[in-house]
Amino acid sequence: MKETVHFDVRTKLFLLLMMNILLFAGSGIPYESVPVGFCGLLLALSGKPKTALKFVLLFAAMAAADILISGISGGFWISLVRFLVVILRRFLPVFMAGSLVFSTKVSEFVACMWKLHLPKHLIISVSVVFRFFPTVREEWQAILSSMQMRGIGVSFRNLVLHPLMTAEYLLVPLLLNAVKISEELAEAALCRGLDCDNQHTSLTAVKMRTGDLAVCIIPLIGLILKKAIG
Amino acid sequence: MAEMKHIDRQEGKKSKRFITAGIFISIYFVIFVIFGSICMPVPVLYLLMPVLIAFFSAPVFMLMVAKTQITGPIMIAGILPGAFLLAMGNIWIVIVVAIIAAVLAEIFAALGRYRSWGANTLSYLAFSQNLLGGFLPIWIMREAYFKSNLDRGMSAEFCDRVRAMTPGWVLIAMIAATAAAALLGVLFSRKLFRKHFEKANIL
Amino acid sequence: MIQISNVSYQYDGAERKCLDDVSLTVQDGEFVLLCGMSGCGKTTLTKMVNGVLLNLHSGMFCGEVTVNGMNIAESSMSDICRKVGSVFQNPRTQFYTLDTTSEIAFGCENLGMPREEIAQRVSQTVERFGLEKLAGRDIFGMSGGEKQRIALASIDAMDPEIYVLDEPSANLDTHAVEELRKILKTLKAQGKTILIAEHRIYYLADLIDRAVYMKDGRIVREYSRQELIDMPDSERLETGLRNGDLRRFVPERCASAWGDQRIVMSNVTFAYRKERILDIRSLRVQNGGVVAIVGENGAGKSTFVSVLAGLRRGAKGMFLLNSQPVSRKKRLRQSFMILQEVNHQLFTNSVQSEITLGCKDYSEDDLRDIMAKMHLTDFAEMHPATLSGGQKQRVVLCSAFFCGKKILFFDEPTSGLDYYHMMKTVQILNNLKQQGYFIFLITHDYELLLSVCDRVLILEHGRITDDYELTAATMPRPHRFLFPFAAEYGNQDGSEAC
Repeated sequence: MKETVHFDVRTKLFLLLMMNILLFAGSGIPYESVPVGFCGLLLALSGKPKTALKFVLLFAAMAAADILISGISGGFWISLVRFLVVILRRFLPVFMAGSLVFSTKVSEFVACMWKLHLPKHLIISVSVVFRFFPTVREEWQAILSSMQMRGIGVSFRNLVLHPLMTAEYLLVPLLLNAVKISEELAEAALCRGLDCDNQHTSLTAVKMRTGDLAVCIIPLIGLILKKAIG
Repeated sequence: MAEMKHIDRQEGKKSKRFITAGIFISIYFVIFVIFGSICMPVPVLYLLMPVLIAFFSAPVFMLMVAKTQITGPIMIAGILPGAFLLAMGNIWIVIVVAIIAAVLAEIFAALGRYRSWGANTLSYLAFSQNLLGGFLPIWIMREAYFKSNLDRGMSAEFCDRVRAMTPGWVLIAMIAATAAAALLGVLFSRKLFRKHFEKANIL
Repeated sequence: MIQISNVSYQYDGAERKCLDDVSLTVQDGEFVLLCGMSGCGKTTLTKMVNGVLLNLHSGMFCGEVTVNGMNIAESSMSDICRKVGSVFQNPRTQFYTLDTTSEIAFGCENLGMPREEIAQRVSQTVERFGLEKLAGRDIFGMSGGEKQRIALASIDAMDPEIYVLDEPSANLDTHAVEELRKILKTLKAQGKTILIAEHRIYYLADLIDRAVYMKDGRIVREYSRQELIDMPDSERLETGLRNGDLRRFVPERCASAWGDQRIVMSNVTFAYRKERILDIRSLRVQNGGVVAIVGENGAGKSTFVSVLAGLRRGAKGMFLLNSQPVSRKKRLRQSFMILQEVNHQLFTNSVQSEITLGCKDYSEDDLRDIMAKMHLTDFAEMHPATLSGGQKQRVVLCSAFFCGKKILFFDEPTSGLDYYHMMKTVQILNNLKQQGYFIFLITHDYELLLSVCDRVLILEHGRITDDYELTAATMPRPHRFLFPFAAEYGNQDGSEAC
């Protein structure tokens, strides 16, 4: 889904912060529906209308459940279920803001880190974490497959009788290979100037626009209003 | 023939260390995600999550420290899961605990110049508590929840029951179990080091 | 210009020098090949020129290396990368970002170029190398060949004057190598200075100006283009150099030893995400011979092999071993695959325990016997991770024998091997034939195929489209399939020396 408005990473992170703060500023379904609606709108504008809809419907369902159950009295378990539902419902705007943060492309996230002038080595480590994450999956799938072939695979029997051996068979090739990969990755990356001391630029633009300012100011205003009115 | 000189330039090597750190942190992250997805849905296992992660991440942590021997990787490794959880929808306590654990871990390891098993063990003991922040809300939020009087229809009896089900000692038990798992994990790592990493000459 | 004067280097903790009084001058615009057996120092020399050796390792050094006037010993990686672009052999570990466009822009971003300039360079490179179809895609889904082209593109966007390449074709199939050749031809036409370390010479034959042969860290002699092509086989075995002109290759073959055991596959299909990616109507294979599995990237070779070996669940159809139906688990017990990435298959801390892993009763004599045959006796107590690639393969192979496996699968066993070691693999395979194993070999190594394979299966889109025994009559057919772009088949721009 194509996005209508592009929000900067910093805006999304600020939004997340605001949602966390607003969580404590008030309670009750009418109050909670405002951040949910706001985040839903932002998600839809960012090219994720289906996700926005899912979250809003979830909120509606949990609100309805709450109202229905409040009629039913007594019973420890009913109250417990209600307790959990209410907690989840209150956290929904935070989950939504989080979903917005996760919809950011890795390359934009890294570009933002450079723009913020974070320490060079911190950026290097974090960008490698993103880069290597899918590779870890490939690696342990291949190792598991080989273990199966050798008869030392991850079966129920092996996990129960020899849990440590199985962990060793899985971890050791993974870690040894990780060392080798880090050598090769470092060479290829440093040969392309990864650790240049000048400011790193980026192909993707990292810029705050009017939309970003709006997204930052609105929750602040909301918070101030809530505190004023009570 | 001209005389040979020893060359050991540090600048490029420093960046290489941080790349290595990123790779090990990535593996730690995968362990975190795997155990997270197995343990989070199931009530009892949920509380065991940091314990299991503490054991299996030990070799990854110890190898990372042994290979990088520099200030930085431990902090990044400790704080990143907290930041991730925060972004996923969690309370700010998560990051505060992660930062405290990571900084302590960094200090302990630095005391032994990242080369001493004793110091690195203490470091890991501190480090492995970094996920605790995700569980504190069970005790802290609970009080806030009751205090702010969210639910007018909630009986005092219910509050007492919930409080009884999650007594304070469970938190202490979790911290202790995580520390114990961390210690056992370090012993397991020591075995792997002797058996493999030292023999394979990768250190 | 690259000027290497009396350079020697010895790694900390090493017993000998890896470079011993090496002197070489590469003029602007020259295309120079570094060749030699594994371990001769050609890779190390490339790492000397691009600064990797002096900046990322520690050791004893003497001599001088200057690149366009820059003294490598006094320059940092960030200085050197502006003048020298490097391409390495492993496509899987070369990329730093997650999508192709970001990857091509990576170097430029690091150098701090303004955005408009980066965008311009990226689009120019994409056009120059014909990468339009690859733009903006997820790197993880790409083949090795595509990844290498992106790697080259990312260097091209930085536009250095000098290119240093370390066996860039090592993990690529013949079509990908042809794409690589085209890019190198473009770079040469631009007047770039190119220093390339390689085993596979054929695709470079009409690009190189001269070839420098190294042995034990020294430059022994130089060859001209024609001398490389005209080299007799005896000298080839001695120097370890692969054929300069593959059309001239005439293999020495052993007779096949087809036995009377049979594997039969009948109506075997396998689907992945609702798409059928394997469809084998009927296949009969005998033991005692090598069956080559050939096909382009994505043709289904690994799927075919992993389904047959019992590694994949959910395959439909009938499998028979000697007229008895055989379940997936049974096939798994009988099968063994020697992977391209052999590090995924090593689990213990000594060669001895690696070989006997998973085996319950065995005799010490058998163990000693097999280690002797594979020249592994000296390494019995060593950790497998310290061995060379070829040695690791032999260890894994030994453990296959030991566990009584009957069906062996090899996935590109000679990728990146010089001629000498490739022929050693041929010997091992011939031995396995005589011992009556079922042998399946995924390969695009033309010389290996012709030297040892008895039957060729061509896979396309999960189906067997061709199936023939390799005899004198059918000998030309593999060449036609592997090199359809070669000049003799009417392709104007195709490599002359394929």
